[in-house]
Amino acid sequence: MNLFYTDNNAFLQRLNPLSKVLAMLPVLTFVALTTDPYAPIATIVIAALTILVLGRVPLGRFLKIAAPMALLMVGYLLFYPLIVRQELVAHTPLVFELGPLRVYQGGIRFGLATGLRIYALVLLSLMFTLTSDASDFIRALVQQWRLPYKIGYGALAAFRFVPMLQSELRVIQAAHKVRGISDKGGLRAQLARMRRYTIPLLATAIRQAERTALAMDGRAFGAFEQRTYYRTMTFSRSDTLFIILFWLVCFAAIYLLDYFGLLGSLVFLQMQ
Amino acid sequence: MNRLKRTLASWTTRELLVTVVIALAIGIVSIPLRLATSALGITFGPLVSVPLSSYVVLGGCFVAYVIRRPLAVSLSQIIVGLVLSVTMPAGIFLIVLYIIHAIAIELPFAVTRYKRFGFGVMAAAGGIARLLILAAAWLAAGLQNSAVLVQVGLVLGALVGGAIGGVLAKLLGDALAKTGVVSLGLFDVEDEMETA
Repeated sequence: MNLFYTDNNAFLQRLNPLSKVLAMLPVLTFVALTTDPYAPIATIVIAALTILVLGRVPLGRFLKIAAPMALLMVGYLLFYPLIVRQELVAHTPLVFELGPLRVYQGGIRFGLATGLRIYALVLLSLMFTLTSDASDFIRALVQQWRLPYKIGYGALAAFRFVPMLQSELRVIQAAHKVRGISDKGGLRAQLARMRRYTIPLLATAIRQAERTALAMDGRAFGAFEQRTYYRTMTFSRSDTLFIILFWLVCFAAIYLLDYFGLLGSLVFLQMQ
Repeated sequence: MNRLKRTLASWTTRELLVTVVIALAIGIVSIPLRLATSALGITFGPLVSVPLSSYVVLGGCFVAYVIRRPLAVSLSQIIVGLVLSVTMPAGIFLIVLYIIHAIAIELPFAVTRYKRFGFGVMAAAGGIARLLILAAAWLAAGLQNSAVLVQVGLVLGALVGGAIGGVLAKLLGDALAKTGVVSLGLFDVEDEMETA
């Protein structure tokens, strides 16, 4: 179920997945609170370089995944200048006017900052997705962060359900097609189709889940509070080193942006 | 905390997997809807995509309606978040998002002690949950700087969209119950209250 994981035994892939989560979370929170475009740009650069250099993810593969998500930015860039509160941007130069619509330079900057911020959050997350094995992540959550193993292994079982459910959905779609039900139409048709597909899919899925649960219980799953592990996850010195270095690099970037007056105010400061 | 642990420990493998698989199935069926609303969001902005995104509460409300047990929504949303975190590019961002979903959708049902599931309660729960999810994304999306009319429109859109999601969850649950695969209140809430 690792759709994006790049299994090449690079430095990032060898790390405990939790160290990447720990490294990312403070940066993710900080970027979510920025209001200027420069901090997100710096984060995008740091995240991209980390993925390409430390994760040795091929550039083509990285672009194939990261580029379509840039469309998100386009949406924000197009619409935010139109919906931003006029009194916040009216002091900046007017770019164009169309009837009651007025687009100010400040509005465009606001749209750009929001789009870049969301993109930076997505790219930071991509750093985890491209370099972390799903099973290792769950194992680490159970072994290091004491996630109840029933839930952890429930999640692992759920990974196996995804391809099964997708293939079951294709079978249902094919069956409907054979019966002459059209698969064209707009949003309303989409909703009607969703209703038609959901019931048979749920029925199959529940039966499959019950069978899997029975098989797991038959192998004494959940019979004991403590359990042993075939694969143990460790938190090594390189994990700590990565977290500290990543924080240091991000802190240095933030310090430099602040030094040159490019950081801007954070959301909660702007609201005062 | 101990009560939470006891509640979690009382879940059997069957209950856990059925809960998760229900949320996953709804998630998979709503992928085309998710893509359509994302495309509409890029083309027409958040005022169009927010009301149409009622599917974000559909899975959670559906789990709450069918399972009717404390923490069912949270468990399903957190596990779906974990599954999506490694199967979607947005990764960790999605885990955070689904933890917010878990709290937002669980809350209205917890208030009614998982005992009332009429159309009104489902619509209110969906609307409130969608509103809480929107509130959590408010600052990151910079919506506090948008025009007041836009903000009012987004709040109303979220309320209406969420309410529709809640009602759809009930209709879907009733339709599923008719097939005989599940009975509503699959894992009885009274048993759970006694063990907790």
